[in-house]
Amino acid sequence: MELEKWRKEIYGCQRCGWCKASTYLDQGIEKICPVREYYSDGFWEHFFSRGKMAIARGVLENRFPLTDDLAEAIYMCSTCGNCEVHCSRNYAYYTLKFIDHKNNRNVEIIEALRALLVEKGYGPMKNQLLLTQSVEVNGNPWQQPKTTRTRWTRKLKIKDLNKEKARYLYFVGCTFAYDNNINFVPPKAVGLLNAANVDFGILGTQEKCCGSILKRTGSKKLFVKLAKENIEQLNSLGIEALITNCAGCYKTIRNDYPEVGKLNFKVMHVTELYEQLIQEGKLKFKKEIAKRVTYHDPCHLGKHSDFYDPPRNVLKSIPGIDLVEMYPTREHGFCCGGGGGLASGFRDLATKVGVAKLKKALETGADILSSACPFCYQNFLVALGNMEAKITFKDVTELLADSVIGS
Amino acid sequence: MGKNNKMVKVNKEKKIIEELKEIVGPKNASNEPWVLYIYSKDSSIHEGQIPGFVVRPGNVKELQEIVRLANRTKTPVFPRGSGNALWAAIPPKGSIVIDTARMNRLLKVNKDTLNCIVEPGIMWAELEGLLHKEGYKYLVSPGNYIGASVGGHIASHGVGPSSSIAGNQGDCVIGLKVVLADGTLLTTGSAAHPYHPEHFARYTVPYDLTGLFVGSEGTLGILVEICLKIEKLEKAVRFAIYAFKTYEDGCQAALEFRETQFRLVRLMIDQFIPGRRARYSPEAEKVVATTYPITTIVGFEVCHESLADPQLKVLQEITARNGGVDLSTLDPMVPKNAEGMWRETGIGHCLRFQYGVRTLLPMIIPFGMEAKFFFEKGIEITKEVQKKFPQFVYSDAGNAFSVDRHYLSGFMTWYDESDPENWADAKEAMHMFQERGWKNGWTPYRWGTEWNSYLKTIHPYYDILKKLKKTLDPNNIMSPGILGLGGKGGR
Repeated sequence: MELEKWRKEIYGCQRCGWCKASTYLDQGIEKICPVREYYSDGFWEHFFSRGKMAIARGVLENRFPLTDDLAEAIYMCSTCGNCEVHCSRNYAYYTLKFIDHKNNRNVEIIEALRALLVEKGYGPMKNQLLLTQSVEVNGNPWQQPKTTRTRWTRKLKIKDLNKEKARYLYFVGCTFAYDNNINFVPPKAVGLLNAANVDFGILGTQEKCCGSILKRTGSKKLFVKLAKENIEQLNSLGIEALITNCAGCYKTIRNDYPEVGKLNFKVMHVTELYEQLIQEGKLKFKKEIAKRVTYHDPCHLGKHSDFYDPPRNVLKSIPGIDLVEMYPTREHGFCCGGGGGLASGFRDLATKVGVAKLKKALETGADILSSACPFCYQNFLVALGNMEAKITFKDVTELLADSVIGS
Repeated sequence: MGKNNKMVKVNKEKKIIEELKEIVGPKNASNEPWVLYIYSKDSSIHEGQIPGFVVRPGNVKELQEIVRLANRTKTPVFPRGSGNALWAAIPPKGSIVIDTARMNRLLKVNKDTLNCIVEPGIMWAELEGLLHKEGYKYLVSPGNYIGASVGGHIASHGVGPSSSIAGNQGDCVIGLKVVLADGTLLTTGSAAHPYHPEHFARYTVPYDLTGLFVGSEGTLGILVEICLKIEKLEKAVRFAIYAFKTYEDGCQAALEFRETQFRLVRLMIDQFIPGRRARYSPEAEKVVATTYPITTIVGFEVCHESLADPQLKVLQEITARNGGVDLSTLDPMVPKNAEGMWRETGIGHCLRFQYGVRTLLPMIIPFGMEAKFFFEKGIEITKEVQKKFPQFVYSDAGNAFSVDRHYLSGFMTWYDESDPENWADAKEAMHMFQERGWKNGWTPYRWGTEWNSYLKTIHPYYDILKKLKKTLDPNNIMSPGILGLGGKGGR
């Protein structure tokens, strides 16, 4: 049982309750757990991390049978990792300096519990099963045919890495490729890479889902199978680096794939490359974007991958942009509600969390909320549809493209 | 159990859960085995016990109905705050755990009478945020103010590192509303007045019934409304760390600091342990390690900035008079670090969970010069336990923070709950601390079930507790077993 791997961490839960604290005034933190705060029954122990750790312990000790309600409690989590960041185990004695949350494994424990639930037939949640099955059949979770994966290219001329070589693979990811609401972002990324004469290509219809959805919702065996296939394919390309503007693909390929097989290339988020290109003078700004912008850290980039500065540096470089921070921010930033299967499993809750985060953005007086993840994008679009707010959402790629290439 | 008895039990449980769901709504009551398991344990080293039901009332009326149901069916109840007690506050088997998490509102801030009224399930950190917005604060910040609930801390008469002037949490309570074992709602303090039912004074109607329930740990009644003292936010604070050659010097200086009657927000005495507490510059650490190993962390607040420096001067004079040094002269960061530690969280000295799960036996010792004996004895006891169980990391008992005119000290160790042998040894180590601490005059700070066998030896105190229990809870449904009253189990 994969859960056994985390025995020490599970038993290491002090049960102090810091993962449920709503106000942590002097550190500048407010809400910790999106489910505890925004689910109407969220104050049950099992709807935040401490209760989930207790469930994990009970499972290891075989204390109770698995049930559908237990499964729902485990799946009702965006796996944002805010509980890991705020765990009291992170704090050094006396100096109380926040040291490191890498020793906490709450997210992995929850994913291991989900894997067990799937194995025993209690997971994933109904809507998530559709996504999982679609990955198996169509190579994407959105129940779209493989052939339409390249619809976003709109006759753009892009190197096909199935036939040619290039320095970089631009890995688009399923969500940016298939979601009509946001599939204008990849062409902008392509425009930027072309503007900087970057040698890159795509896999087109041969690109398959990275498997993030499978891993997050507990379909571990399927994930491993898919990851192995993808690793073999990606390793055969001879690329220096895989670049992606999906935070989920970034985290999965960079952090999760190495547990399945070795990668012979670097994994980069596009904002990392943009930052580099800007510093090298290869991306030139033509237009000022005179807007106040605030940046939301996607959990897969921020908390899970320690990746906070490149998107901010890119935004700060764009002439006219006044970048302001939300409160709280960076590793303490609150989830958008879009990840970990929460949006597919519990749509209403995901929307409530998204609305809560939007309100944080509004407090900054920003005209634009920006981020670097298609799941955050999707969830914020739904949240914006649920409230009247004088703020729009734009991906970092969009803002950069607006300035470098023009709208 | 015979088949018939089992059937009767199952039917009884079925009826109870149905009735509980009727009272609070179907989503707020459960007897699912996995839910019961989650609510079976506190934060202590002790094994949990599986309750029969967990119910989450949203208001006083629902809680009263639950208690009446419990009384009718002779089912024990166990009120739960945040569930992070460290003294075996464990639900009795088969009991109804009353989780107060939904009763979590700040009801009122009375600026004229300097108090606030809260429901028991509100977290201290949340309350702090709400009061700060109004320009106020509560007085005693518990050790785990981030994870702890107000009700739990009051019910177990807690303290915190900011207790130096304010004293025990119980000293900060003006009045209560309590649901008794028969479901009656009792109001204590001035709010008991039928024509002016407002909380503003504690000692009005006869007997201090507020004091009866503070520290009763759920054995006499369930707190449903708490009126706490508040003060205006301080205008300024000052911090310092003064180091002394011996416990004698340090304890005498600490007594003199207290005698100034400055509004102390922190007064902690500590023995320097190399490598464990890196908070000084190398130069300051050298001085502390070699010559002045007993440190006192002192913080005070003032209502006017102009008072701060003169008061600091007084503390410096006391330090010099007792042969100590002001560490800020060696390390200018010392005051900022000490204040930072106080501001960042109320805990300060209890963390280090990197070493494992912590077990803590907090105990009360006298203030002033008598403390010297206890510190030295505490270190001796720790060494004795460490000799028998060398595998654990220990915090020696040579440190404490002041609570008005006593200290809170204690024994701490870290262990690995995933290793049954390690866990069993840690329990034995704590048992050794308990036994030796008790025999040397250390007083338990909170009791739970952890100190049952010790409490039972105090006569006639324990006899009076039993009489009170019998009078107020004749059916013995209120947390039986806690404080050794009306149940089995515990140490």
